[in-house]
Amino acid sequence: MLPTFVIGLREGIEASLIVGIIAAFLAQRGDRRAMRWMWAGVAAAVTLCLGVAVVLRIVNDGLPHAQQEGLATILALLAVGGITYMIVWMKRHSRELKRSLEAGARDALEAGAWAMVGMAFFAVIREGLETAVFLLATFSNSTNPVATGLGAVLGVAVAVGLGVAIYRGGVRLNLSRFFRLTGFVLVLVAAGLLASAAHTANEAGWLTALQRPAINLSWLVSPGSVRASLLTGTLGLQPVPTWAEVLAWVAYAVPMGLYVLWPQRRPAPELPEPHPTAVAPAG
Amino acid sequence: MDRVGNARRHAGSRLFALATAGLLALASCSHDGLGNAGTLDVNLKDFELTLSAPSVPAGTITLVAANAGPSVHEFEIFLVGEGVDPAALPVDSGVAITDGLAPVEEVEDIAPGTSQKLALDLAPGTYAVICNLPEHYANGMHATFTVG
Repeated sequence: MLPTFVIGLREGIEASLIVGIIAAFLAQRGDRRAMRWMWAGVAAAVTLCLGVAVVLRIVNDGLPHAQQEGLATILALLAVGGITYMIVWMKRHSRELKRSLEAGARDALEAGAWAMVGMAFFAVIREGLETAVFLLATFSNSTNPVATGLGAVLGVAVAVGLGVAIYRGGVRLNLSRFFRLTGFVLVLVAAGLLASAAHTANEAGWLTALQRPAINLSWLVSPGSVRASLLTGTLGLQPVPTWAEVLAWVAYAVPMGLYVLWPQRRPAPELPEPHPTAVAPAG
Repeated sequence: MDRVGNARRHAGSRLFALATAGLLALASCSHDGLGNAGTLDVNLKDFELTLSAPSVPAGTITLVAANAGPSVHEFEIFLVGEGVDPAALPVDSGVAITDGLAPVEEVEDIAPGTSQKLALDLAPGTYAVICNLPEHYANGMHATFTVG
């Protein structure tokens, strides 16, 4: 039961982390309408993934492996783009948002909120199909379907619970700390996604250079453990990442991390007029 | 009114029968298709990878991978290039270096006690099946088969 629990947890948290952050952000804005759309979108995405997984099972077919990995690469790159947009948007608008929330005005920020509703839907679609296919396999192709299936469902349930916890915790933080923290977390998530895009690009046959193992992290990310599933699911850490994956991760995390952590330039405080007696009299 | 009601009922059940037949046809399509009934079983366990046959006919084959556990396993199928011995690949940081092998298919996350089935269309050649999780290759999880 533990092996399927661990896989379900990993697959589930990849989506629930993003949804939790977006839900917390929308709640902080007090944008009830966007939140309702987000939950509707998430429900639709889950249903769609289960439906497609069932169809795939019946047809017992799919895209050839290389094409599947190519599609996964493109989806991961799009996700990196979307998350980067979120990070930059939050950084640019945090002070403005705080002021406008306090003043009660919200219209100028509508477009950003809807983009995030779209991102939540997209995140569930992206991770959800893989999760749905995996869940179906544990129930139908198992010598002990109850144990393996139950383990997988529990893993996904715990992942959803963690997403809810992130949402609750995020809502309670004060706004600027919330932005800082989620910006930082999203940088790590996007860096992990870019690294996994490098991985799937190799499997699609698009990237053949830099494929030697760069570092052995299997002591930290030991396959099959709960810790590994959390680290891989949230940060995209692999047991033995290749040079391509490590470079992709660093190339994103360092500049974007600096961008997020760089203190915002405050407007220069008004300097007092120099005192007349400070001017030394000539002579 | 009865005639209309009857017609509607018949239409409904006819549609249902068509749909079921359609689904069954779809389901059976992927198995044998054009008569090439080659199957290959891949048996995975800690730490052994064995195949049910050393060779399969060219064309569409059904591959069934079963994991007896207790660990999670995966497998990758490669087309073996000239002069490469898939049983003697260099190992770095616990994973086999697969230069000289062309990736064909991969199935990840096969939980213990589960199996997965897939249909493959393979050209004639020599193929290697490897589980490349850390340390698994070095512990013997590799095998080869020929097609055609």
